[in-house]
Amino acid sequence: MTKRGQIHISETVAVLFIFFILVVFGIVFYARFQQTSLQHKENEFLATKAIETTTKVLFLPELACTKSGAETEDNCFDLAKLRHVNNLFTQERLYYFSLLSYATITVQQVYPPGGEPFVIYNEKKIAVPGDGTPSPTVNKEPTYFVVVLRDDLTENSVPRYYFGILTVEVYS
Amino acid sequence: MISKRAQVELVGLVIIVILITLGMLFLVLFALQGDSEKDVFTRKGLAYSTMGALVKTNIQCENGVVSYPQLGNGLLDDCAQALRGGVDFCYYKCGPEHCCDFSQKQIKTLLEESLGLWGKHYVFTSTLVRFGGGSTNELFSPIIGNGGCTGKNKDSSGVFPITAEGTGLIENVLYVCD
Repeated sequence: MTKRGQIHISETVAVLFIFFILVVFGIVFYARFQQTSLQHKENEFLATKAIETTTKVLFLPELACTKSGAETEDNCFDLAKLRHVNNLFTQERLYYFSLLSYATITVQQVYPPGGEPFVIYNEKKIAVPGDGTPSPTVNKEPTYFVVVLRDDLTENSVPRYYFGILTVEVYS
Repeated sequence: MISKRAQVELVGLVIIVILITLGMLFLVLFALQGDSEKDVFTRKGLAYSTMGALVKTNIQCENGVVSYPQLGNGLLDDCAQALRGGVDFCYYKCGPEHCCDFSQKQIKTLLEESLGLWGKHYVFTSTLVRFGGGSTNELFSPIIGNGGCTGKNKDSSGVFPITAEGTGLIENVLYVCD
């Protein structure tokens, strides 16, 4: 083989080498992009679920404050209902599961301080990996909302409003 | 006429340019990803619900006798009346400080214990728009949390007006940002 031919071959090999490096780089980049995009889609789905569940909870008649027995007050939970709703959710577990799915819903009184948190619904999702042992490795998306808690059981029977926080955690 | 070798090199160059362009395109797509639907929902909902809860909350007021005025209709209204001019008189004396300072302190504490804990940036303003002349007064200096709102992702509760009898309108606004 002539020297000129050898140079040609090594030149072609170099060009092919660079070309394949670029192709591999592109493939890796695309795979990463797809992976991130999939993760993003999953997060978006979870976020949508969080929004839906939060909205459902905010408008649940089982919790909402009502004026004159009919009209509901915005972002308001009745403390008397809150104290007993857990029993209802346990009794009608299937119905509320079909409504709220896997989620943990907590209401915490912030002002006046000292109020205990109400865990009104708690259906945690436990992932079961290949070996069959449950492990809490599921995605969780918390959403926070500020609500007022109406207390009708006051000394003078005039309802009082407390400052509270609603936390809705949904699981994928 | 271009030689065959030059043609091949040209094709190689074009491929490289295409690959680099695709890479840049992906980068731009990543960079331009905007606010998610949930972020906007949470910010708007939070601003509105927090403001609604703030003005409705009954605050324990102890000064010999215990009373529970609402933060909006009770304390902010009282503050606006006190700023009316003439005699600086607060109906609710909930502590050693002026009713406006007391209201500001309560709002500040409640916001710190909710939005502040979740790392949200926020600004709360309360302005008195007087009847007739339309002159405006801030009831107290704006309450700024976590550095206030400087970013682009900003939402507000909208104006929550409270009528201060014989004085004007108290316009309360809460801005929440990420």
